[in-house]
Amino acid sequence: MLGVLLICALVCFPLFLILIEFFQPVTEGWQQLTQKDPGGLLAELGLPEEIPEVTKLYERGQSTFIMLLGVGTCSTVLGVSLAWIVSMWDFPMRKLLSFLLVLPLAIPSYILATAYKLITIDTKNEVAVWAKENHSLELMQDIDQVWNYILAIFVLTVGFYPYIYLAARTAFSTLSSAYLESARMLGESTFTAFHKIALRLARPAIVGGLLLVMLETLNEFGAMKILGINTLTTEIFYAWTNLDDISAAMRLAGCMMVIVFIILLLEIILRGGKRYDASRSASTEFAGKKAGALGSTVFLLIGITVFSLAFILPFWKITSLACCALTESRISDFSAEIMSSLLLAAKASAFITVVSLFVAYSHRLVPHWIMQVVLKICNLGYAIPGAILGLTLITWSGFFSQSAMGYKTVEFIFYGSSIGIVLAYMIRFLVAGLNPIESGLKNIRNSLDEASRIMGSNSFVTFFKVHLPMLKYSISAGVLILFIDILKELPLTLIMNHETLATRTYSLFAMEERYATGSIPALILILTGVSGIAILQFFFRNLKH
Amino acid sequence: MSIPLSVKNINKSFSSILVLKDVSFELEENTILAIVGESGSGKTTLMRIIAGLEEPDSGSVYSLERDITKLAPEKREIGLVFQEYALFPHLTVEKNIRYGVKKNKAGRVKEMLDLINLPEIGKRYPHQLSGGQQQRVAIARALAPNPSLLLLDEPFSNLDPIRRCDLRKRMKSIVENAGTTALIVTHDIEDALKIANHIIILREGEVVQFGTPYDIISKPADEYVEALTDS
Repeated sequence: MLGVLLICALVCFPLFLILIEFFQPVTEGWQQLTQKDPGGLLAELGLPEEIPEVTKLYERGQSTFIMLLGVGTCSTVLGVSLAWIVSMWDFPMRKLLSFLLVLPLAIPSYILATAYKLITIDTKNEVAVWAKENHSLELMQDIDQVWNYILAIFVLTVGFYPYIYLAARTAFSTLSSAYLESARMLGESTFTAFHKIALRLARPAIVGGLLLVMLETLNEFGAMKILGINTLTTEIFYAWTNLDDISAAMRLAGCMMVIVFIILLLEIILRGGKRYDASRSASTEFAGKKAGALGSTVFLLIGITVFSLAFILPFWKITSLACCALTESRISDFSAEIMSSLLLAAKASAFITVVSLFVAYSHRLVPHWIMQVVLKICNLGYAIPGAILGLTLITWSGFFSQSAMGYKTVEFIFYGSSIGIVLAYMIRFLVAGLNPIESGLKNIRNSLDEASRIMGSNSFVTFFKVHLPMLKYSISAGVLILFIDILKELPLTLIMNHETLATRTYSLFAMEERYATGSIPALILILTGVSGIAILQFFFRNLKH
Repeated sequence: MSIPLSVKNINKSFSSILVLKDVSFELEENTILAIVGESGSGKTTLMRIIAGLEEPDSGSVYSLERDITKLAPEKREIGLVFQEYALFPHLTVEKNIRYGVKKNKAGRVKEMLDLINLPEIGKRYPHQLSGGQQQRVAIARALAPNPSLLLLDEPFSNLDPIRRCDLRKRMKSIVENAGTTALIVTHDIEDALKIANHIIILREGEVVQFGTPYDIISKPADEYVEALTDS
């Protein structure tokens, strides 16, 4: 239990550091963010008309809110609709479509953003020129801003909707046919039965998926930067790298954590304290209603259109760019990044899996309410955006540097070293490792533990002889999820100063604007993600059986 | 003669509800004792306390004159057959049986498979067996480490009436041939009357009657026991 508490303390530590920052004196960087005219410079120069109407912090908060609202709403509508199609209706190629609609998860959002930026750039320029020539410069600027928002919401929606789609699909497909048949017998139509029964029973799962989408949107750095949207996350990077003001960055992190807690609170309210178990009482799972010829065509068309927009089109763009680049560059040019990425992802996912096994098994052995709370706190790590986590760990190194340990040693441990980044990944992705192992352990009846103990094996031996072999699919699935997540991870890796495929891709796309060259590592990332999702599909099928 | 099981003044409550009230009894060597009671009578809790899976609030459990009340389940040398059998799904029948055996594993596995009259199923996995076969394997696995006492939790509850009758006979002969002492927990008085040498009737955590099947039928302690045997 002590070990688990230590891990829990590690997760809480960034929050503690952020809290401390608010009791420190205000810096110049923070003043620039919170004052319309910092130091009264513009007023002094006699330029009161140049003073903006709102503060920079308000602007960043506003754009963060627009993105959260836009991506949250669009992802929910898209994810739930697609889940409804593939789980409530039976039509040709339903299973294939059901799998294909998950694939957009394989494309990191910053690659998706670059692909769409390149696909739409000519049209955007034409519209901008038309607006400037026929109307005004202001209109051109307004169109540019609205375009960026719409494109960013579109990109993140097609990138993140699978979180809601997967949650809703699972909830709908494990629903008992008896519930819907009862509703039909009581006079409801197919649609109203779905609305009144299926949708309400699936609400907790949908809200869970929405929570992930909101947290991912808040965490997003690469896509926002590429598409020119300035949010609180991009501002943290700006304060840290351009202003070299870590205190202002920490205060911004504090503001973001307030949003995180509001989102977590909203999740609790939207769930309404309900965690239905519709599948337990299910006699027969709902296999889906047979769709007619017209219905099948419409459903297939919708599915293929979404898949094309979310996967085929950006994949085609990146592949064609990579093919062009391969005449000048070679895959071996990125061998250092490939090796360091694979090694780092392997090390981190192995470490996080061991920690997850330790935490989950401790929870099984000591099912005390304190362990429940500790587990909830461990899960909170995922809610802390990567930029904030990286920042606090670097601050932590600064905190130690003032102690007797010596600056160089501590800076070496946390900044640019694999120990620091693995620790940071552990805090952020512990939930991704814990979830499959926890659910795998839940599927192992307690009577098996008791049978093992009765036959002379203590808890430690039982773990190796019973639980570990029975968890092999859960552990493999967990390792794979972690591996893909870590391989794609950008803001945390960037702030912790690590050269990986993700940071190299981002740097080539966003900093150097070498799109063709950047497409090679981008393609490697996408293909790794696609293979990972295909293998995961296999694991989950085995887990089901 | 050493006594395989002696239970003295056991009390147990869950969130202020008393589920066992001053339960005491002794079990003689090479006999079968059945504890009979309705749902919530405390019979499973009593069995779990004997196995070491629950701790009593007060009272003691002795096995072969040794106080085992505070002893971990893995050190008690007691076998337990779970209601849902709890066979390890990732292990073959052979590996399930040898799980708790310390010495001469191969020989013991063969001996046990012969005892349950299923010598050919060693390489199969639990999901490849019928319910009755699973139950016999569960008994073999519990008997394999040579326990001083065998506990069986509702051994026939998952079976249809015809298989139930057949398995009752088989189980009785297996336990008798193994030369062990057994304690069966059941809600069905018929199971108890057909299989046990002694019966305890438990009602709301209290022992209502302890006697032989003949005593229970001919001299019921009260109306509750009488109604139970009449049904």
